[in-house]
Amino acid sequence: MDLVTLEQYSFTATFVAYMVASAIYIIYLAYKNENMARVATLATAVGFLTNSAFLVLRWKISGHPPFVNGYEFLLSFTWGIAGTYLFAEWRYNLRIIGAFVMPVAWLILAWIALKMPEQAKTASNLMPALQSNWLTIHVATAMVSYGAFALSFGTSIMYLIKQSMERNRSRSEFNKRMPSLDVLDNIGYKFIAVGFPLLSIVIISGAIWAEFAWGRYWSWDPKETWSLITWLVYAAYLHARFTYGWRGNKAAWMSIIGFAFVLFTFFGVNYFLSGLHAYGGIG
Amino acid sequence: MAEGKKPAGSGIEEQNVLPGETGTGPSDDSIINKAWNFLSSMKLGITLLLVLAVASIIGTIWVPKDPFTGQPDYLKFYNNPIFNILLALLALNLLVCSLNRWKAVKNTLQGPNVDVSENFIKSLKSSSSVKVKNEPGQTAEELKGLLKKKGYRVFSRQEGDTFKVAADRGHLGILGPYLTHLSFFVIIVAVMIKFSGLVGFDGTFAGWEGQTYSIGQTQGIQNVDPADFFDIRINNFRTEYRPDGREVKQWYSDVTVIDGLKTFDFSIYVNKPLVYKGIKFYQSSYGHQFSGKYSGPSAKDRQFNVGMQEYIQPAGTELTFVPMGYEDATKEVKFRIYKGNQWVAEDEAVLNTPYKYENAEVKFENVLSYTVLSAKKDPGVLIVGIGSILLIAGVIVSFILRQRRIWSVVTPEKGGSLVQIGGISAKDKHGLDNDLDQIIGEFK
Ligand code: HEM
Repeated sequence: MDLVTLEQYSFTATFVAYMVASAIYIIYLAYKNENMARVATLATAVGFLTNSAFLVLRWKISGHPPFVNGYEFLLSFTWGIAGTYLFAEWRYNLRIIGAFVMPVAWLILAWIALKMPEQAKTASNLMPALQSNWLTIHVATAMVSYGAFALSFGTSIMYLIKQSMERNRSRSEFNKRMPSLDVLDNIGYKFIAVGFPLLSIVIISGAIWAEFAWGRYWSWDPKETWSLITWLVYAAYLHARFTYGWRGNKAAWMSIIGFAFVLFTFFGVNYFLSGLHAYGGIG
Repeated sequence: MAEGKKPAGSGIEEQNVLPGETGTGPSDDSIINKAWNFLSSMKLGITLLLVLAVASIIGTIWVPKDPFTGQPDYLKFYNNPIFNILLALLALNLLVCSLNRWKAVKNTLQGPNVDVSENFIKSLKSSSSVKVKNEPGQTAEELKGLLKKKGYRVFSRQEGDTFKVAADRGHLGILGPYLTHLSFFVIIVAVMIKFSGLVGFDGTFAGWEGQTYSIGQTQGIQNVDPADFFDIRINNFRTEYRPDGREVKQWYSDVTVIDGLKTFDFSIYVNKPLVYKGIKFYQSSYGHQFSGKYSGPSAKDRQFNVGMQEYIQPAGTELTFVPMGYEDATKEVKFRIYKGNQWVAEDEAVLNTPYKYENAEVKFENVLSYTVLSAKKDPGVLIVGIGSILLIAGVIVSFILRQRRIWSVVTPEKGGSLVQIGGISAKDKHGLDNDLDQIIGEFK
């Protein structure tokens, strides 16, 4: 079997694995069955491996790190989400978070499968401006950073749900199984505390790359600007948290808004705005 | 678990600083003080961050077009004075806020105040008390030992038969935000100086192969002492193609820098600028001039001399040859052929080899290339670079070193002593509560 076919299989396998994992995690919200939930973890782990295999195969096929077109970016993004989630599950032993995080990864793959034209997926050569190690650092840190923000997004949604159930004095089994508000708030913050330094590195490595390529570390290109905006929003989150004590509800909302900015930087900029990063385009 | 612990989100939240640690300076109502307080306030800081975020969003949606090229001009919006005043205000805010906080930072570095009351400890969110059989002196020693084992810095004092102990760890973490803020201040200042046009320049240096130019001929050169001018000879401009012969792999300008008696060779390519005397030269564009002969049914051996994407139209045919590029390594000219308005072929021909297409013939004899380099000088780049690295270091330090502080008062009680113990940690309440639990566990 040639590498290209193998690569296509690895995409399909990842798609199926994340779908199975998402479905089981969601069912697990309603039916507590630990063995079933273990299958979801297994599916996530398998998907993470095939997702890794995809990236490695792509690297072999194209001869450069798989961080060049939108297809490669998105598979790096899902890799970051699944990896961060597996870490969080291992660290906090809370499978229930999976229902709020893994569907994000699966939806991205579903979007690719449905919407992305075939020619946007093929491996291509690096145009001269993209031949830089800084680009590799730039995207490699971006995928972990965005994965961490996705995780914080998931626990923030859980926070809001849990809070409304608490307010209604819900006695449901579901409410009992959701982690406490305190724990959700804490995990939500911890992952922003991981994502924020990484996002700083993303922006700065991008600036260094631009300085080498064009002699302009900052050119207010829309993609650049939106990543700065995302950074400013998370900086505001951290300040509000530590100086105004904005935790809980407000922090959860800020984390959700922050992730909306991450997604817009990823998808929206390419769709609604145009710019230098168009060659990193999705469609 | 320590009593008095409230869940997160319960409304009142602890901050990283204690009352009295912030807002130094006399609290009179003079204008200067008011201005100072306004400029140092966190409210202004968060407001500016959000206003800048909103302004940046507008700048990505409403993009003015360059009147000449019709290309989007991203810089125009952000060069606007209002945007720059906001940036300057943020820089000032960061500076004043940092100066204001210095005293609190110094206090933190020196260590927590030992002299606190039992009421203060009771007022802490994580606090509890435990009765111990040993007498206070011995208990305090034991407590100090436990804290040291957990990596705390320990301070203590004896007042009669009462022992007071204060301890902290991760205190250096407070330098993290401090470093981050000052670095961001430095970055903003360096960026603003650059946009002021008072230092450096953004120019274009272009020239033909084989020629030598003084950098004084750079279009847009500014703020460079003519005594520092040097020459650049352009030896060669070449395009490297991928094996398919169509896709460009890299563009190179081979140059020689001539500065008085000192000369050296350098190959500039995309992502590899030449840097000399603080001036950087980036590969930015290029062009070729092609000359040779062409023939058609009604005219033979006419001379042509055209640039890239210009037309060669052999008389008596409907054909147009359009040179698109040149590959030094193979001496091949790449061109397209149009018939009427129809693009009919894309091919290449080696220099001095006649190329026939239908009833036309073209012979490329000579190619002369020029390169276009963007030339820049920005002394701020180094400052921005150092600022960025310190900013990242600061951010990492502030998340890794999470300060925890513990206070304890040990008083005599019937048959032993009473240990009141409590602490504060804005970022690691769980870690702090664990430490307190373990310490209390040891005493029980
Ligand atoms: C974009 C600009 C800024 C960045 C990147 C930034 C970054 C940070 C970071 C990373 C922290 C540490 C947060 C944490 O420990 O979790 C912090 C804390 C803080 N920042 Fe900023 N900041 C910025 C602007 C400002 C401004 C304008 C003010 C001004 C008033 C300010 C005041 C503070 C204060 C008072 C703290 C708390 C320090 C502490 O907890 O010890 N920051 N900042």
